[in-house]
Amino acid sequence: MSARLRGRVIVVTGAGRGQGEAEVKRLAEEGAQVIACDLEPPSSPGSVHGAALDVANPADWADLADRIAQGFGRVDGLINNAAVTSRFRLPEVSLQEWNRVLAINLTGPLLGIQTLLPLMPEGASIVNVGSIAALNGHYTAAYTASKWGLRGLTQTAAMELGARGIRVNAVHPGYIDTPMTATAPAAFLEANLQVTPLGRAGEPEEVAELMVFLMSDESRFINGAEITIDGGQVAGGLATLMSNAARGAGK
Amino acid sequence: MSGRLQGKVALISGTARGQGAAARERFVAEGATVFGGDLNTSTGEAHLDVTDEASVAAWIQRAIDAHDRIDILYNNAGAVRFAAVDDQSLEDWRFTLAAELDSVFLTCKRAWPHLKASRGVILNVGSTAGLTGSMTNQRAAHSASKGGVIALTRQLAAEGAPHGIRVNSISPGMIATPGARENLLAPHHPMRAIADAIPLGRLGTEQDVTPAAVFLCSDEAAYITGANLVIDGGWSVVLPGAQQMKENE
Repeated sequence: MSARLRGRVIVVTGAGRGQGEAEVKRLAEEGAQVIACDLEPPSSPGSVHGAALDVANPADWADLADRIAQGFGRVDGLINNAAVTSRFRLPEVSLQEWNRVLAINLTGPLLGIQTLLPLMPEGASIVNVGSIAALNGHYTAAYTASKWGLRGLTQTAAMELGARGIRVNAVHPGYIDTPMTATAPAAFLEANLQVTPLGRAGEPEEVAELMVFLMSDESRFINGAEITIDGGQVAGGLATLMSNAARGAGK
Repeated sequence: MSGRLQGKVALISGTARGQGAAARERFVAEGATVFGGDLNTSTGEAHLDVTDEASVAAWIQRAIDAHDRIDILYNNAGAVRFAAVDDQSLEDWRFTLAAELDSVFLTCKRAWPHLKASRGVILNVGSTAGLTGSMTNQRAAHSASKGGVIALTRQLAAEGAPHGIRVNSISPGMIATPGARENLLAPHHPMRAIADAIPLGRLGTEQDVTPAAVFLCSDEAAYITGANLVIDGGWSVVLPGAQQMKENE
């Protein structure tokens, strides 16, 4: 077994299922001690340590930081993965819903960075999980705004924390096959595949490989980067749709 | 040894020194068979002039003759001539575009059939010069060519996907390669001071870049295509002066 993350202490939010769960598994395989956080504490096999955390609750973050300080003394990595989707159209999204989505998707990562920063040594790595919805307009107003906001937070954090030798980057997944995306209508998946050059959904394990790279020293000069993992959707999705349409028309 | 590129045949251009030499070493350590090429053949590299289609075609053919397949094409080679826009000759503009952009088109074109056969991967080298303007480095041709490489990468990602070919770029910022030391990092050049403007507070090294190349060329990055990975210590995300403003608070 390789150990690209040997001895690192890494916090993952939204770790109970889907993409977060896959990340926890890969990080642990590479030798990390993983603090796996979710509303319901995930199970704790081997070097995985489940913890209860509501990312929108500052008191939960403070408790987590205390326990990590006692148990490990430091945090080498933070993956702000927890997020909720919200599919209300612009005219229908309530203020309550808007605030709920921003609290979890945007304020949550801010609280995580602020609370764990005192435990982070030089060389620590933070990844915020954005979305390709943060790179263009998207029909989910609150979700899209929260992910665009997270881009801004990422870039400011990259600037401010860089001087401490702490790196902050954003990962923008496209359509990944997770319990979250499974709640979307089937037509949403179909439409996504039509504008994804690779023609398939991504797997949570594929995102996890990118997280291993970004949590390791292999990426030690990468800071403030925005990395798409989307099967080419942002790069060439529209052209793919047109190309396939032309092919269907015999061109 | 982890062997993250085990069994893959990788073509890397510009392997005689600097970034290309570092990449060759790392790719070999990860299990790849590397077929290099360079204008400079003094270190035993296969001859390759990336601006000449016949030379590119011959290089690709030599690789196929030797290894039967191409899994990875890493377009590392390039050359640049800097000048203020009103001082740059058309000849020097064309030299830069040929070495940095024509070169990528030619190797991709000639390797494409082999990459289709292997469902392979291309890694191009953009630059922060393709994303931002610079007040310390007069580089119109370089900015244009690297912006072109990033756009070409996106287009080839779209064209390659139906064939299972992935195409990505890495965009280094200020990396202290031998080439950079000869021009941008030479004594008295204003770029020497830019480390202060990089959030991580230092210039990059070849070893900061090669692991990203390994990752993107490996199967670990199977769902990543059309991406441009910036490796610049955070340089391109800060406004000029923002770092200094923060420190002066």
